[in-house]
Amino acid sequence: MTAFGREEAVGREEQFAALVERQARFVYRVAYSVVKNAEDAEDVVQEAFLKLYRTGAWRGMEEEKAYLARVAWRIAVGRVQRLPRREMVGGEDAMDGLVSGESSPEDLAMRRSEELRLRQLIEELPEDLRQTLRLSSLEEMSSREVGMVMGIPEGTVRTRLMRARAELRRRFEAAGASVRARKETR
Amino acid sequence: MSDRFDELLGKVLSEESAVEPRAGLERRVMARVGERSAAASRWWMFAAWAGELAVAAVILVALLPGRPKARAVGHVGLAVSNPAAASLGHGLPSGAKASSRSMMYGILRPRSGQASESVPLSKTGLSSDGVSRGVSAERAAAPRRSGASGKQVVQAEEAALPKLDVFPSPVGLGEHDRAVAALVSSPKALAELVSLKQEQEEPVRVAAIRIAPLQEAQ
Repeated sequence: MTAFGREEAVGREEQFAALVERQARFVYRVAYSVVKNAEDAEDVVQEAFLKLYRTGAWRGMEEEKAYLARVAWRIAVGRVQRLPRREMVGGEDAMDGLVSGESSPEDLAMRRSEELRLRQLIEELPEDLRQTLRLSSLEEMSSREVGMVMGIPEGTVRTRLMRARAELRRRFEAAGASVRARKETR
Repeated sequence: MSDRFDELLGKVLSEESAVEPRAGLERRVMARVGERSAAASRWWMFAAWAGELAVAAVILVALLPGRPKARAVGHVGLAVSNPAAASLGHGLPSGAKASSRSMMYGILRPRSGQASESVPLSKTGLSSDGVSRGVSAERAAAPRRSGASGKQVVQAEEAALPKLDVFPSPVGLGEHDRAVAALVSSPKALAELVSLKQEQEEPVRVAAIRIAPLQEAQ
């Protein structure tokens, strides 16, 4: 390799390192929103950046964020489809705040219980609604960008978001009513 | 209830989207990329080296002196050692031309400046001075095989023989053919043959014809 070629390669590597530095966390969040697991999410991030580097596609990206999110999202979805679904609701942070002293322990416990129920309901949503809802909740992801990531029109993203919210509300209220009914019968 | 639900949903979603990777994610990503790209470049270097080696081998084989022009496994060849016989070509007298076609093709007909030609005669038994019996180098160099497996190999080899140049395949020489071969291979006989041909080709000298004038009948 000539000196010029070596310099060019080094420059390219520096540019790629800057891209990784800039977007790795965002890509991680996209991956995490799908796989719901830190280890798998990191694997997805590594795979996504490796793919970009190997193909050289990262140099021609017009909308950097949307492009990266799309790559990571596809890899993550593929990974989730391959692996058996895990139980991702609850987790170690489910009982966080119980000792914080902001509210009474009863209030905090009830709030945590509702959050858990909502997480469970999100998990139970149809996949297209769930993915759209999670991607749109990521920082600075507009409906247009979510559409680009998922390969659907912006209008479809909005419709799915509305449907997801409406469905969640309906199920959440129904679940709350049944919990109240159970309390009253005791 | 509606406000509370929206608030709760917003909180749950923001918590889900605010996850942080383990420290050093960027460094790990770059390390893996560097590792893979190094492996890829090593592979490309190996591939380039292998390609160069293959090209060099092809060039070497192409330039190798003494490479056989055509495969002639199992052929028994007749080589004419007497150049006079080869140079005679088709200029033989009609008697010689009338000899068997196999003889003509095998011994006398030179092809593209070559003095000898390999002819598939397996049972000629010809071994005079001018005509030598040769076995192709490939066959001669091949190790002698024995047993059933050796037989099978030989059979397979013979089955894979190329198509013969002469059809029908020449068989053993007749008496006339042997006589012609002996004639061609003997220098004395050849000299006689050449002189005979020269005589034949020389213009016919006819003595002057003199016709006496007719005497008028008186």
